Amino acid sequence: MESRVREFREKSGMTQEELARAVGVRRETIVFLEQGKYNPSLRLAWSIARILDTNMEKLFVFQKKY
Amino acid sequence: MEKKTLSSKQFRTAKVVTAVILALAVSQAVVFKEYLVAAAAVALAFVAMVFLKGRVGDVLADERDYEVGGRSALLAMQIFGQAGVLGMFLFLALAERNPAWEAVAYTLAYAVMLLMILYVLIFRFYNRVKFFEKKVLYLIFILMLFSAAFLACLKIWSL
Repeated sequence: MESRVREFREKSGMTQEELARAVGVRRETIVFLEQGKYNPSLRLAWSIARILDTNMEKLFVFQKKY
Repeated sequence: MEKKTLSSKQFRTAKVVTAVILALAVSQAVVFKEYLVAAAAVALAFVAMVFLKGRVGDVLADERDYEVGGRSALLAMQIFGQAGVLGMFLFLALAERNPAWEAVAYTLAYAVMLLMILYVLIFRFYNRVKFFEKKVLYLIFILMLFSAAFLACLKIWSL
């Protein structure tokens, strides 16, 4: 999974800490998300997309494997 | 008036300090055979922790922590289960030389068995409540099953 969270977060001028607070997770989770090392729940992905004023398809890009 | 909040770092520090004070208090109380003081110290520490946790402003644990915690718990259980069974056979084999090892073997076996039962019951609980909203009924069922298993273990042990 390719994550574009960092790109959208920086565009919106938020820090990792601010985004984490806004969606109710720890900053480390945002770090892992931005590195593509964590698959968020549907609820978290939706919350982040809403805060960053985008949608989930733009935020997370899945490579088609099958 | 704005309610004062703690950061997660402050809470972790408070937790460590409480644990140290509690360990000191309980050990001293046990040395002087004041078991009521030890129990009171544990209860007081528990209340203090609940109070402090309620004042933490940061997120202490999120979905990633729960996921990692779940995986860690499963792996820890598997390692303990397999090591416990191997240990049991080893101590049973050694029991021919020294009968004292037999008690160690059975303690390990019962510990592994209780852990497995507890894991299965908790797993079933979390797995089922998503489909059935009868949490209380299911909890009572689990408690009854676990109590029965525990009593059975005690009965076998006392033979």
